[in-house]
Amino acid sequence: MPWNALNWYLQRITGAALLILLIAHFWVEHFASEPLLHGKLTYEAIRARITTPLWQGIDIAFLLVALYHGLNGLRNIVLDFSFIPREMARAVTAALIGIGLVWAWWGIEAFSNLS
Amino acid sequence: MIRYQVRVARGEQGISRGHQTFEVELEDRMTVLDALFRIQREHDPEFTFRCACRVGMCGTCAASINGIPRLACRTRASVLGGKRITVDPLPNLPVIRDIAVSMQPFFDQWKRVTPGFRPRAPESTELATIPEGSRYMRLSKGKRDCITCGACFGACGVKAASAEYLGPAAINRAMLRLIDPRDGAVEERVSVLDQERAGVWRCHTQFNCTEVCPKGITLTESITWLQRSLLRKSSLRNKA
Repeated sequence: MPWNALNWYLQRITGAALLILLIAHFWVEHFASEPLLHGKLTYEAIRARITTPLWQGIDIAFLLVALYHGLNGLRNIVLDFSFIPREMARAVTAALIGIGLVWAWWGIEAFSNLS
Repeated sequence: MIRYQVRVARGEQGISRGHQTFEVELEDRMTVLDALFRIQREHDPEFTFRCACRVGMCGTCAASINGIPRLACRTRASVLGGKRITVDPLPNLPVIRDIAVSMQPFFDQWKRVTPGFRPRAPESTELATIPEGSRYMRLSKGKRDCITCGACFGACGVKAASAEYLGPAAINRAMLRLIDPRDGAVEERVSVLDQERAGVWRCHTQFNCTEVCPKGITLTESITWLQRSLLRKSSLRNKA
């Protein structure tokens, strides 16, 4: 699949995934959390949930999807403005990839400190 | 007769001299183009605008009327809702004088997509026919009537930020050629349409182009069709 087409396609896929993940996130965090409903919201209660592989998988997927969608969206804005020179657009792309990798690593690494 | 206040842009070679308002009397069925002629004949013979056919066929009189790109000859003053009409040159194009713009940037992009027919089999002596129910007829329905007026070019939000972007009309033209089974210049067009900063990927599906097209061409649909097709370029090469 051509690179430009792949980016366009993934932007739409991640957009749809974000919609589902965001609603699920808000629902679980603010409305459906058992400890929250019973007035027992503690660090331990939250840790118990996010140390399970299922929730870690969901949260990491959420992080990666949000990072790709947000940073690629930012790149698209830069590409929309033709007065921005190509070299600068390439530098911005490289910087956004770097930011994305560091942020992804930072977020995933946070889970390893929970046990 | 109804009296209108027609506020027109003045200026030349990209230097704006603001707007000038003229009192013009028009009959019920008269158009904005008639108002522009009244201004030129009764108030200021130097007032400049372009027109040719006066019946919505040539696209020459496209202008921004009350903020929306339209054909002046197809826009009745009475349907604009009010006695004050503002006429500006089409956005995203350089002003030559007053309402007249240069279509050079529009046709520069138009030429980039190889708009002319390039026969797939130039030596063939067989008559190439397109049956009524064919894929070409189905996909091109309602998209073949472009009069290159530039209204879509002026309305496009992406075009306002990007001189490189092809614009809706050129992309629609490329789509028509790409789906034509008799045409062979697939690679040339695909290479332009697939460009990161100029091609179809810049479209934000704002639908401004579709909204203003005086011929009712669903330009956004053409662009999104190409975006989906470019996911599998082979589908464009194999178009028989």
